[in-house]
This record gives sequence, structure tokens and C-alpha cells, in this order.
Amino acid sequence: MALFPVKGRANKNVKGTAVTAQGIWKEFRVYHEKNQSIKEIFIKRKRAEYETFWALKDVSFAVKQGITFGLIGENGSGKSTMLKILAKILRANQGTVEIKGKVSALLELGTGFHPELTGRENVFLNGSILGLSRKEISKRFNDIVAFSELEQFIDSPVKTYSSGMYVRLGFAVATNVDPDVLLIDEILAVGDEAFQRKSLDKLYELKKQKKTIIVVSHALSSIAEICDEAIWLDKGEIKAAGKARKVVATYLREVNRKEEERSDNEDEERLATPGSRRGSGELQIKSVKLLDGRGKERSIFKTGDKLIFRMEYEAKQPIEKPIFGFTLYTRSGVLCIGTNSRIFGLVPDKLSGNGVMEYEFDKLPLLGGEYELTVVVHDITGMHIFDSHDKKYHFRVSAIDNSDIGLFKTSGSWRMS
Amino acid sequence: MYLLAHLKDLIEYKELLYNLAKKELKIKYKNSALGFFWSLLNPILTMLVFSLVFVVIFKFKGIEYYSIFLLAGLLPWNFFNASVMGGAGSIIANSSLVKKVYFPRELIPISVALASLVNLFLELLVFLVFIIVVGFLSPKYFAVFKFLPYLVILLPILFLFSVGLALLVAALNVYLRDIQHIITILLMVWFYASPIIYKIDGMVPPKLIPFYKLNPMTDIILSFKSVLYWRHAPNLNWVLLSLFYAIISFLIGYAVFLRLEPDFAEEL
Repeated sequence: MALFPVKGRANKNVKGTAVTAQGIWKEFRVYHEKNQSIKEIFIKRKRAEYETFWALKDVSFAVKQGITFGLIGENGSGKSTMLKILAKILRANQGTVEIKGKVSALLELGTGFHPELTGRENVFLNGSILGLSRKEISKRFNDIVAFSELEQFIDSPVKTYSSGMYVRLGFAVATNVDPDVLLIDEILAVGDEAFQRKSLDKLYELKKQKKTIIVVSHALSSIAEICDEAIWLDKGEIKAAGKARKVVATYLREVNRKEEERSDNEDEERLATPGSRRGSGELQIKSVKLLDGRGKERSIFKTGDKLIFRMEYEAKQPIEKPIFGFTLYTRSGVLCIGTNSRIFGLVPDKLSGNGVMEYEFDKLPLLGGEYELTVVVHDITGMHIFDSHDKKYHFRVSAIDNSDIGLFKTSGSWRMS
Repeated sequence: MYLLAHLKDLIEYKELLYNLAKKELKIKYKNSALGFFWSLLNPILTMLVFSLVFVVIFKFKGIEYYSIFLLAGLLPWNFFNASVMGGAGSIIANSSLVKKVYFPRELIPISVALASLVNLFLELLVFLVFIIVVGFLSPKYFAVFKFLPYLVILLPILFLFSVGLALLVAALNVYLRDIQHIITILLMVWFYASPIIYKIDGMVPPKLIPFYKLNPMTDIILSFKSVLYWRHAPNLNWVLLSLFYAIISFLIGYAVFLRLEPDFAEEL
């Protein structure tokens, strides 16, 4: 399925091309049993058995000076491998890479830090790896530390750093050494949200300075947002190339299509199995009732009706801060609603004995169809589940005439002027 | 030519080489209370042990000031030993760098050798203090100072020879981790097969002497001993032969290293 014409070789002679990859092939060996000891070689008289697969198959592209370029694709599509080849960490079996200017790379979880050295020592080591003199690094040192927010820890060995701290320092170094070409792998997947925002701002700043940036990411929205151009790699081959927004859209369409296929298959399996129950049991949901506005138990409702989920619980021992929640799925497994009492702001300090927890839809927003209900009670972290009734309850919303289509009734209105 | 182009690159990376060597020294003595003194203590203790065995137990009288005789060979050997042993494991020890950033990988074993060179200089300083002390008992030993300038020729030869071998084993060890263990044993044999704790004339059976000509370390050690113990210029043949061995070692080691280097990240 040809989406964009990409078969032609990248044009090497484009003026102001910063990065050119030409016909890159990369083969990996997967060893069944890696033997690296002489004994085995002599005893078995052969190298270990292995299978090979091509991680990249004839990949060519050119990145113009000053643009931001994205590599997208599923796990195992070869995008990180491509980045490592650009960074000269891996050698391609075939093909050539040409990069103009100083390259700074930030590959999976931080740059090359030596665990025994302190943050400060690693900054200087990394700076000199990227070709900066001691003086130049000293000049940038304060900026790097300030950006990484590691003032207190800069003189501790980096082996004591958390992965977030590691990445922050790595990002700070890689972006502050004044590279001509910056290679970044999945940086936006780590660190807290504030730091992610800050990193993006920094990337925008570098972009404004007309630095060439190549990004590998799963965060498609940020790729679409920050990148000018992108390629989509699928099983080592370029499937689409061009304007970042278009490539991301094409990629998303394909992912959604696959997802649907998969969920269709899962559906058939799931329908065969009835809802299941799990949890540690200190706090149990004894019964779940679906009630209408008059408190009568029902299994069929209409859009706009009042609907109450009534959960009777029993706490075998005092439970601190339990959270009740529920999720609603369509029969085909699409998640419609998921919410809990903590989101609403109701967190009882302690619960013991028997009691009732209710959730009330004043006006049921669901449109006609079959729905499945999961109820759960867990601790405040959500990690420890006391009791969960997975898709154990069913109800139907009957289709009413002259209705919206889809899952939810809109609350918007039409206007004419 | 290929090698020359690479060597030119190395000059551009001198800052990094300096940082890597500094890192080696730092990591080596991290978490040890005596730190740097360990590297001085090691040759001093070795010297004491061998002096005890040879002079006190074996009652060996053939060599005047045996301790100086021994140190004159032991110090260059220790440098060689540390460079090759350290080099063997160096790529693996630095895998966190190798897998993440590009720089010429040969800088790693070379920086290990540089760190060992710093140790050698400190040991030589202590050695010279020792010479001064001995000089008050037997003033002829002050003459060692007169011949010290020869080290300007001998040290680079020793360095080149050691780095060559270090590059070779560093690269091979990435693919075959046994190298590190084999090297430990080989170096021990090599130590006793070199005229460090004994001298060739009058001690080695004449039948075995031809084998010493095959050992590249013989000429280097004998040259160092000429300067630091016998107080005369090293035999020109020894120096030239050592230089020859050093160049061969460096060329082979570097060529093998450059061939294997691009796939390090994948193998680690």
C-alpha cells in the first residue's frame, strides 16, 4: 500500500542538507545461546547458533538543515536502530550516512554517563566527548545544572540518581553543548510533566536557532506538533515520508485499523467467558444493583433516564481510604466511561462493617446499545485491588427514535444567525 | 595511511583523553582510604617480599643493592602489566559510554595506559628518593640521575608497546570474555620469563638464553635496568629492537582494534 512516493533515493545534492542516509541496511543476529567463552568454542567447535533479521531495509532519507525531523513507527520498526546508526553507535551493513557538523545524541534513557562518576564529572566528560574544551564546558556548566534542576545532587555519583534525574541531566547536557545536529530518542516519554514541557520548550528554542533535530518518539501528538517532516518506518522499511502532520495522520489511521481488527478478535473470545471476579477480599462488594429513578431494579434504560449503581459492601477489617470505581464498556469492548470516587473527591478516611456506595447518573448520556459494567474497590494508590467484578453486569439502553448516533448524547445545541 | 588519519583524530580528542584518564584514576581510588598510596605501596611491598626471599632466605649475594636492581625492572613491568590488564576489561567497564555516545573507542584503552603512566611517574619519584638515600651509603648510585634523560626515549617505547597489546586484548575481550582470564595467567608467566627479579648473565642456564631474545620485554627491561641500576647508557641494539617490537605491537593492536571497534556496541 503505497501512501506517498518514497521509493526514489534521497537526493544527495540538496543544498543545505544536514543529514543524509543512503540505502541503509542493518542486520541483527539473534543468538539462541550467546557463547563468549573459549571453552564452548573448542568443545562445540562452532560459533553459537543464531538467526538473522533485517532491522532496516534500504532506508534512505535526507534532512535539510534547520528542520526538525521525526521518526515514527511501532516497537521494533527500526526507528531507534536508525537513530543509533546516525549517532555512529551501530554500523550499518550497507549504505552511507553523512552528517554535517557536530552531533549530539540522546539515546534511550540518557546519554553515556559513567555510573561511578558524579554528575559534575559526567558533565565534563560528556562535554569533552562532544568536542568541547574545559573552558567551554565551564561556561555552560551553570546553565546545564540549572536546566536539569539537580543543584543538590550534582556532586553525587550518577549511580545514585533516579531514572528521571538521569534523563534530566542527559537532556540538559545534550541540548546545551551547542550541537549542529541533535538526535533524541524517546526523551519525552520520561520525566514529570513539568520537565517534559520544559524539554519541549528547549527543543522549540533550538528549532528557532535553526538547529537540525531528529526525534524518535511514540508521543505522536508531540511529533506532529514539533516536527516539520517525518518518516514512518514499518518493519525496517519506509512506509510514508513527508510533512510530519500527514505522516502522523497516515500512521494513526493504520494503527487504528489494526487495533480494531485485534479487538474484534478479542471480542469473540471475551464473549465466550462470563465476567470474572478478583481482589484480595478485605473489602468486598456484596451486591451490585442497577436502579431507576424510583429505586426499582432494572436492566433496560433509556437515554436521559436516571440510573443508579448501588454497591453494597462489607469491610472485614477497617480499611483506610478505599476508592470505589466503575467502568462501562460497549459489547464490542470500547471503553465508554471510567471514573472513581477519588476523582469525584469522595475519599472516606476509614471504612468498616457493612455499607452502601452509590453512583447516580442524573441523566444517562449513553445512546442505544448493550453495555457492560465493571465495578471495583481499591486502595488510594490504585495498586491494591480489594475486589473487582470485571464486566459482570449487563444492561441495555434502548434506542429511541430520532436519536443521535454514536455512544453519547451530546449536550450541545444548534443555533442559526 | 588509514592509521595515520585516525591518529590525527586522536589529537583533536586530547581533552577527552585527559578526562578519561582522570576518570580512570578517580574510579580506581574511589572508596579507598589510602587512595593513591596503594599504587606506591604495591611496588614497595613487592620489593620487600622479593628482597626477603632472595637476600635473606636464599642468601643470594650476586647483586649489590638488590632492591634497586629489582625496582629498576619492576616499575616498567608494573606499568606494562597495569596497561594490558586494565586495557583488557576497559571496553566492558565503559559499556555505559560505548553504548550511548560516539567517540573513537581506542581512547579508552589508551586512557587506561595514560593513567598507569601517571602511576609510573609517581613510583619513579619515590624510586629516586630511595636512590638518594642509598646514595649516602654508596655515592656511586647518584650517577643514576646522570642517565635519567634516557628515559625520555625508553618511556615512549614502553608506552607504545604496552598500548599496542592493550588495544589488541581490549578488542578481543569484547568478543571473548575469557581473554581477561587468560591474560592474567600469561602475564604471570611472562613476568618470571623476563629478567626482572634476576639477571641473565650468570644466572640463566646458557641453553635458555636464546629464548630471552624472543621475549620483547627482555630488551625493554634490560634497557631500564641499564639506566636505573647499572648507571650506563642502554645498549643501542636493545633500544632499537624494543622500538621495533613497540611499533609492531602498536600497528597490529591498533589495526585489530579498528577492525572490531564498529561492532562493540552491538556485542556489549
